[in-house]
Amino acid sequence: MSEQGPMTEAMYYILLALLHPGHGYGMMQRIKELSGGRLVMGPGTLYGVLNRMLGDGWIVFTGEEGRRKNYAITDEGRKALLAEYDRLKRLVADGEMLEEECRRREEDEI
Amino acid sequence: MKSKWKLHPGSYALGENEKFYGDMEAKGWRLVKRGARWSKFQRTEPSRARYRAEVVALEEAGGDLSEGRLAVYEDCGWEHVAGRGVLHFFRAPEGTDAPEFYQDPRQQAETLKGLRRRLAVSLVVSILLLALLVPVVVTVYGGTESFLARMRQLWLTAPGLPAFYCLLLFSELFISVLDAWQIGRTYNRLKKGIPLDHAPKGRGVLRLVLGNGLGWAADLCLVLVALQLVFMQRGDLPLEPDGPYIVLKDVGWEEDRSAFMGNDSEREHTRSVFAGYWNVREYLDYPDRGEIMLYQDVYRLSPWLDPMDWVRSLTANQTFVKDLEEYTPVEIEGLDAAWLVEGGMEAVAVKGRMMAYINYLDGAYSTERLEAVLKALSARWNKYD
Repeated sequence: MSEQGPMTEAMYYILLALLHPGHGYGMMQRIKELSGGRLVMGPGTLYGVLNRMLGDGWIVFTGEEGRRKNYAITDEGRKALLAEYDRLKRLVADGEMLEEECRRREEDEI
Repeated sequence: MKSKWKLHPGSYALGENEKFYGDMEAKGWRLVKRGARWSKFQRTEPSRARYRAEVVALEEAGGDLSEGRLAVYEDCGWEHVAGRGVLHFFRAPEGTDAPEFYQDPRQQAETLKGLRRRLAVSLVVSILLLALLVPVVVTVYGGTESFLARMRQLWLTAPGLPAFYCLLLFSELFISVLDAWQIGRTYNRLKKGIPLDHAPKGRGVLRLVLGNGLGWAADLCLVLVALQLVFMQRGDLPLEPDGPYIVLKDVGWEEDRSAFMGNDSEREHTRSVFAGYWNVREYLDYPDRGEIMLYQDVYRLSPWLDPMDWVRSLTANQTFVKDLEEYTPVEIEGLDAAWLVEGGMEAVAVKGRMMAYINYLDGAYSTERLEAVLKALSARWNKYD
């Protein structure tokens, strides 16, 4: 992870969605579900990120269903996703003091 | 089914094109094809629809829209309606939940990166090539003066040709500059996180008026050139002159015509909005004297042009004596002005709206003979007018 910069939200969710191999439209549906409807990914974003990750070797083509192309995450992609997950967890852990600070303020105000 | 073509906004004015196609559909015309300057529409029921432009990144399959990509867009509710080059247009009926292509403008900016670079590079290369081409062409024509003289002659005899090249050059240059600027500006705004305006005001009037106007004018010039070629008369030189020129018989040479270096005696006549033009070449072989040759460039200018403003161009592009200053002015009855090269073979004549450059060779290099040729021409012009 030391060489890998932070992922964009789109990259993170696409890799998450690809833990179950699938095609582009399926990915978009899964991303919507995974994010609780918060993230509706556009086809332009999806296709741009897919191409970039294919180039980086994080995902691969697995076959075609008619005109649709199926993709799956690679070991390299899984490592990158895990590294990003760890980074995000650390960010959240580091930010826990914020929650304590807010609680203390509320108590002081009361 | 009823269809029509309509001019679309600039190639890379993305938002303007999206709005234009949406507005057309609201009027009952649906986009079916996109050309370089025109888009084709088919009659349909007026309806509201969103149109979105997508630039396929050049790095991606050379800018082609892949089947896989198309399938994703269509699954999302976007119908691919037309495309040209790297620019494609998709349509979704109003009210459907087809998601916007990009949630983050910076992602869309990435798709324009390669195109922006390509347009900027091609603009610089075009300007450099043009800058190199001008001196090359001028050198080929034997220097600036000869080149300008040739252009002035061409302007008189076939004005559509130089006008076509100039207009085409300016319109292409203008469109290249505009395209590079438009895509550069869109890229910079998207990169800053400013979303693409899908319904901007205006339709790129500058491009419509200047870009298309110059292009149409260039097309018109090409039509004029074609018409001129169709009506151009070219063929064997008649025994009796059928225009304001003379033949060798008028200066006393009665022998039969012959060929000279594979060329027969010929006459070419064309007419433009600025001048009527006769190019005459006559050869005959006189026993014991060798080849006798008469070459004439004769112009009958339109009433609003003064031959004295144009006469210098007649000599500037000739082989031997190019500068009219090196010619000797002579008085010839019936001519407004006349010049000749003493002991040479060149002469120039002006009368009213007529002007002519003459090259006469009979082996004698006699000034008197040249004067005789000018007199014969003067007599011919008297009859002709």
